[in-house]
Amino acid sequence: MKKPDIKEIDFSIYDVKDNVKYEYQTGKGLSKEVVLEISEQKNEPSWMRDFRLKALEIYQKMPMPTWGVDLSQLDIDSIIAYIRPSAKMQRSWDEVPEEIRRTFERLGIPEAERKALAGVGAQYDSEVVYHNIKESLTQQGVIFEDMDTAVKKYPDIIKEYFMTKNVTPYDHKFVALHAAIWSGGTFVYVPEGVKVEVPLQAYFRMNAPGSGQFEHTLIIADKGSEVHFIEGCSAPQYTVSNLHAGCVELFVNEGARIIYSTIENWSKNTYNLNTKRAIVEKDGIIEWISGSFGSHKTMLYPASILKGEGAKAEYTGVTFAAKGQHLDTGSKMIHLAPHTSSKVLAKSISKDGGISSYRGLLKIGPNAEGAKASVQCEGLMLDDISRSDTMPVIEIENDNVDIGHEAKVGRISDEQIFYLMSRGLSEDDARAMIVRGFVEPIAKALPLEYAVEMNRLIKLELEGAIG
Amino acid sequence: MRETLLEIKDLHIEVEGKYILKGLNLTIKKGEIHAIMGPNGGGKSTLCNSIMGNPKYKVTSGQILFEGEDITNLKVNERAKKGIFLSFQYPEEIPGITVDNFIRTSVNIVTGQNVSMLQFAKEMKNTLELLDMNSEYRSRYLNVGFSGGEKKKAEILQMAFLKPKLVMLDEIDSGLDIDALKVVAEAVKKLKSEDMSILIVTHYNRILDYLEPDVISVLMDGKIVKSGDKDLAKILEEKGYDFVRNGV
Amino acid sequence: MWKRVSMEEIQQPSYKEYTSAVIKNLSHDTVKIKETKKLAGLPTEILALRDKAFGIEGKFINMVRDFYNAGFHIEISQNSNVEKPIVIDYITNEQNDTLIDYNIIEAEANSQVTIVFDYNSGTKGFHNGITQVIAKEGSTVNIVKIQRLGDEFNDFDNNLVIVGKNAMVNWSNVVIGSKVSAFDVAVYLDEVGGTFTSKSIFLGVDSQKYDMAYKVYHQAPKTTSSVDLKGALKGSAKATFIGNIDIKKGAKKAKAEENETVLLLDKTVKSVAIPALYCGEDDVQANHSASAGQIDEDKLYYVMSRGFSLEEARLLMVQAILNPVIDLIPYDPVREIIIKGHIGRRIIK
Repeated sequence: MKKPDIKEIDFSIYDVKDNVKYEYQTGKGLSKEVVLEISEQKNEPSWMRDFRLKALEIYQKMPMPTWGVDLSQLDIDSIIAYIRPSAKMQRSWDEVPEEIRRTFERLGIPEAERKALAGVGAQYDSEVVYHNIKESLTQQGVIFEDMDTAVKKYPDIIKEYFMTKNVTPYDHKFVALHAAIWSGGTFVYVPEGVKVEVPLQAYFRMNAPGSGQFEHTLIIADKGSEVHFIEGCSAPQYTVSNLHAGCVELFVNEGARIIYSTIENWSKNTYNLNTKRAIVEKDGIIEWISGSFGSHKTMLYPASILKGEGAKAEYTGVTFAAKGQHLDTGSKMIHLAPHTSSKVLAKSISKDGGISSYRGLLKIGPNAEGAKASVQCEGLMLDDISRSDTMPVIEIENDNVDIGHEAKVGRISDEQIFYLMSRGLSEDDARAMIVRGFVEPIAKALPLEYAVEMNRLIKLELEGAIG
Repeated sequence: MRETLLEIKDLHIEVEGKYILKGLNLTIKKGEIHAIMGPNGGGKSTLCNSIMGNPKYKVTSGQILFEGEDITNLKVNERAKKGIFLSFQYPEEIPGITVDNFIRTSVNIVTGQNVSMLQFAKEMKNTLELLDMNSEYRSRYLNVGFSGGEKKKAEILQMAFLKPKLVMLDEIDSGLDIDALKVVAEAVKKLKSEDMSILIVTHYNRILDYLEPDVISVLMDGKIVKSGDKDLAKILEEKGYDFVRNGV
Repeated sequence: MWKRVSMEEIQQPSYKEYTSAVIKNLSHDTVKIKETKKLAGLPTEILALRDKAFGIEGKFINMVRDFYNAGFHIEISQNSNVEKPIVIDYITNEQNDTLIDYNIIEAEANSQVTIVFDYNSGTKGFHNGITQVIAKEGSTVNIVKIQRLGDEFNDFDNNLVIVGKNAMVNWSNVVIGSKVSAFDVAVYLDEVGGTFTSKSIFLGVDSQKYDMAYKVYHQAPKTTSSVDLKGALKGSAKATFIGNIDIKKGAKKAKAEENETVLLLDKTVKSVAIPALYCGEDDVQANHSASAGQIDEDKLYYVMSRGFSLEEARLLMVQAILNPVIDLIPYDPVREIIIKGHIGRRIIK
């Protein structure tokens, strides 16, 4: 059989290197001075400044993780932490500078805006450039603010919730780093009983060589409320290592529901070390929908802490690891209360030497009476030079449970290809159709334009592959 | 005198080191219903798969001509576009792709035209009715969780839309109960246009009660050893295949 | 999180002699059996395996290699079909409470043999052993390992299995005894057509602690493996199961499957399962599954409606899981003892 003729992914739409002026840049390397500069630039209250400094201390003391992807090439010090372009935060689209608008236009933001999304908080190189909150949201009492502003506008809430009860700087080294130099992100608060009809969307992008993305997303869904948040990101190709160490903290209060969708498409030289965690109270629901493409190396394990009785969590995700990529992802489901349930559907595709690893944790604590959990992992390998690894850990400390875990790995069968070709499809189209079918559960759960984007990404990734 | 649609000349087929077809000759005319019978292992399924162009089945010598054109080296999807259709004995499951989506895509490719939504829906409704299938099958993933009978019906559903010139039914009678067989056979009969040829590979010959063959050929030990008209079926039923073997 | 049991956790024994092993069914002229203690040196084939990773932990392996006080070297000659199983009765008692066995089994081409290891009796003691199995081309080797040592025993079993071309090794672990019991079975399917199947059971009660691992390495095409482990946990018993399927690039058409089922009988048990699948080859079929839960309530109700008490019904259901494997033990006396003695006694307290 002939070796496939591989074409590099055509990301021309994303490879936009605008000649945007960079107003301020922190010098290379991470030090107390840098952290103070960042805080000063943002005009932060002293408590946040102190929080950053404490986190820096923790970061400096912690060792690098010894498992997961290979981080030996990552040189954190040489990554410029903070860049602010000349535009200040905007209220309406028209006020945003031409260059920046163009970039977002090419990435599809205005269309999304036109499609009656509630609002767009967009991060451009560590700073929120454009932000628009629709009237109805404000009327309902929903807060949808960029994180920098939220720190000053709602200090009490932020002080109480920002990396205190959920993710903390002590969790691991990259979270500590994040805590010290975080910049930008989104704060969402949904009041009791309010159901936000339209998905809230944030869009951010790295553009300068060596710049890091350390955005912080904090969502608090009060009792009985509902909100769907979408994050999607992209970055152009650069030779200097890019680092993304973001953090997402979700609080699902009693009877509330948060849907958190992500399409990740970092450029192929990015280290994507993200931390996402949801704490779910009584009868609350968290749904994670995740499509991980791109990046050089990714470590991503959205965690759901089912703290209240009847809490539910669901994770539906696909990872696509192509040439030079190692995507190490998984989900953590921690059952701590009675009658909780969790469901994981993790699909992965590996091609051209890519490595796709699923690292999951399912933990049933001694008080998790009546827990129900299911995990389903499927790995699709498109050639014999790639890897698909599944490493689940299932820990059970209660007998009144119903737990099932299943994993399988394989390839597209010749029989399937023959069948589809007998109905007129070319071999490439047959493969593409099967892969599309493979990721369909994830596409189905995403809002339409994200599903379309994901299918488009997959098509690009597959193009050029022959048998 | 009807035109020739398919002509197979001295076909030798090898699969995983074994020679299954050993110099097979076969002619099918336009509009003809041609039944292939024979003992298990004789090569009946191999014949269908070879005509469809399954790459697993290697042609070591011989030719396949379709409408006068040599298609021996043509790829599977090219053959589909020429109008060759195979109703699989074991149709594949394609999770994540609905029946509707799949058929529409296939039709667009094979006919080269974009079928209008309205037209498609209409045809779908009629064909589902013809096959005694519930409309909910449209939104189910192709063949996933379908019973044997449902899978066979889904094959004929596809055939209806693709309107092929040559329809090969590979043991469509296996896995179908009496009622379902009747539904499927009648449907095929109804869907058959005058010029459409049907190649029926059958093990039992009950289906031949519904789709009366013009020609019956017996495939044994990799070759067509005898051809006759529909009465040959009765003779085989009474005397068995050895009769043919000894007679040759 | 979890950790494999380690040498540091137990009180290490001091070296002692062991003399109470008994081999039964020696009536084969095609089988050569010697005590490993009395061998002049290890067979060359075994020495060649020095770099094959196996065992619970290096410390356990080294201890056996340096201090083994028991064990048998069994060679089955080419083409011989040994019909009756060879039974090695590793009896422990007060005088013989430290058993460090090094067993080597070499099945020559196209031979067939069944060997039953029965680690039994005694109340307290220490067992740490190595068993290395080389199944050459076309051979079939059936191994049954029964562990029904006393309640105060610490038991460790390190196994290495090399499966040759078109050879087959069928393995069975029956784990019932000891306070702490760990085993590790590393299987190398190094040549085309090799097959490894395993059907094993465990029953943990009170404060027993089990650590069970199967690691199957598919290194050649058309290799097949199937690992099935079923068990039940009661009281504050703990079990850790590690099942690695490791398929190397080039192991085309490999078929691997693994399944673990645990019945949880009390609130205070703990079960950890790590069914891992490492795959570097696309042309394979690999799948694994793990499930855990209580006894089906509907089934309990049905059994009770036929007159069984709750306790009796539960026993029946546990037996239903364990019996199919116990029935495979090709040695009646042991089977009886296990069914009547061990299982019943432990479930109904």
